Amino acid sequence: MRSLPQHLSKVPVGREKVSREVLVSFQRERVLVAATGVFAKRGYQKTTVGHIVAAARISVGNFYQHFDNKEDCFLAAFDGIVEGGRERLAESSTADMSWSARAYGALAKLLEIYVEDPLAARVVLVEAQTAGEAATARYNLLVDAAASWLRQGRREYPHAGRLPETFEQAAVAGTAYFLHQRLLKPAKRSASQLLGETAPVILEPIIGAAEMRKLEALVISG
Amino acid sequence: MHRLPTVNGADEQSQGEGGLPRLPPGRHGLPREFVIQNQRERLAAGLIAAVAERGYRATTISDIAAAAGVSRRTFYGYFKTKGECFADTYERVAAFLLETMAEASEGERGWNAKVRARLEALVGVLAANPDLVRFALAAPPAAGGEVAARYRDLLDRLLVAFREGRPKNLRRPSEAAEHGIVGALAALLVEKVASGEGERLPDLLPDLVELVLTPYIGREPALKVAGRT
Repeated sequence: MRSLPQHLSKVPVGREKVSREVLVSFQRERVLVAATGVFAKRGYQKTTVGHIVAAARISVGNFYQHFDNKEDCFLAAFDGIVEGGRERLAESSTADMSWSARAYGALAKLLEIYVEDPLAARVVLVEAQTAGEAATARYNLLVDAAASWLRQGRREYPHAGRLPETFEQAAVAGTAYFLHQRLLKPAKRSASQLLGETAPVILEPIIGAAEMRKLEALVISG
Repeated sequence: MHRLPTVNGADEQSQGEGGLPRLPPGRHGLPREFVIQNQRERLAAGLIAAVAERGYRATTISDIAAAAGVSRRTFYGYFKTKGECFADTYERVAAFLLETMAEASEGERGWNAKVRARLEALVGVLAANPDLVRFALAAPPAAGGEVAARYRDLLDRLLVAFREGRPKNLRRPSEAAEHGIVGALAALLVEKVASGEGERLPDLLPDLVELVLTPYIGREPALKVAGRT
């Protein structure tokens, strides 16, 4: 379940009046959560505004107060999921961690989110590419950002310099494709199993086997 | 048996048995001109060109017919829907690519050399026909549904083609690693063509050899096969 963003989680209960803005914001979030489910289950193309309002239990008029159209709603859902992911990643890393620990931690966290919320994962990893130019552009930005982030590892691990130029792009695209496939043909895999499979592909070539074993040992013991 | 459909309005060229000469793999081997008698092939070629240009969903039957140089009525003589035309054409393209790769590896001994030959043939034929990358790899994910499913199926088949003939004693990489290979391959090919450098796809060959072989034989040996040590 997506949790409410921080600024809404303190909505007062009881006799206090709640401001209109908070209510509108709260409703928008609820619609996005419902829309995520519809987009994921029906696919972007086959989803209509009618499906979304039925799932969110609001009126069509309400929908159009929040969003211009289906695409606008999708983009908002996508952005919300990515923002939520960023927040959770930021929570779990600290400045004094090594690059490899941050990278491993980030991968672990992303896979946890992926397993906990497959509908959101599907919106980002599968549906975004089918939801029009703006959504595709956002997806591509995300992939590029991940590859750029990985690229930083080369500075820290000199022997990674012998990896091909295209390594980061290939590793991110390949992992995204694997996760995409797993969503369409689900098999029971825990987040830690997925981590065990993806870390050697995406991280170990950069940091080396010795560093990889160290990180794995830390996780087991910690 | 499997031919790459192309359209050309110019003069007749001598044809092999069955109507169309077989296209050789490799950058410079593609004959530029031949006439397609078979309208179904023109339609396939038209579809490839139309989808390469504007994506699957934006392509209409009128677009396909126009690119093929036939009437819409002719289209409906062969296919009921755009989807049917796509399914037929996609399978032809897939078979063509896989056959090209299989033939290239026949003369090679040792699995490493076979993989390299397969990749070399693949990038060669794609460099000569970058619309195939747009049609078969770039456009389908955006279309979703059945069209995207065919794309994923092609990637599965490419993986099988690479693995063909591999020594039994090699440990099998994880699913993440194997999907990673073909997912990455598609992404790299698409990106090169999208950035206007389709004719330079063969430049990717060393990276691709390393990409495909590393999960099976390790990076150092893969670098050697890629010609990179």
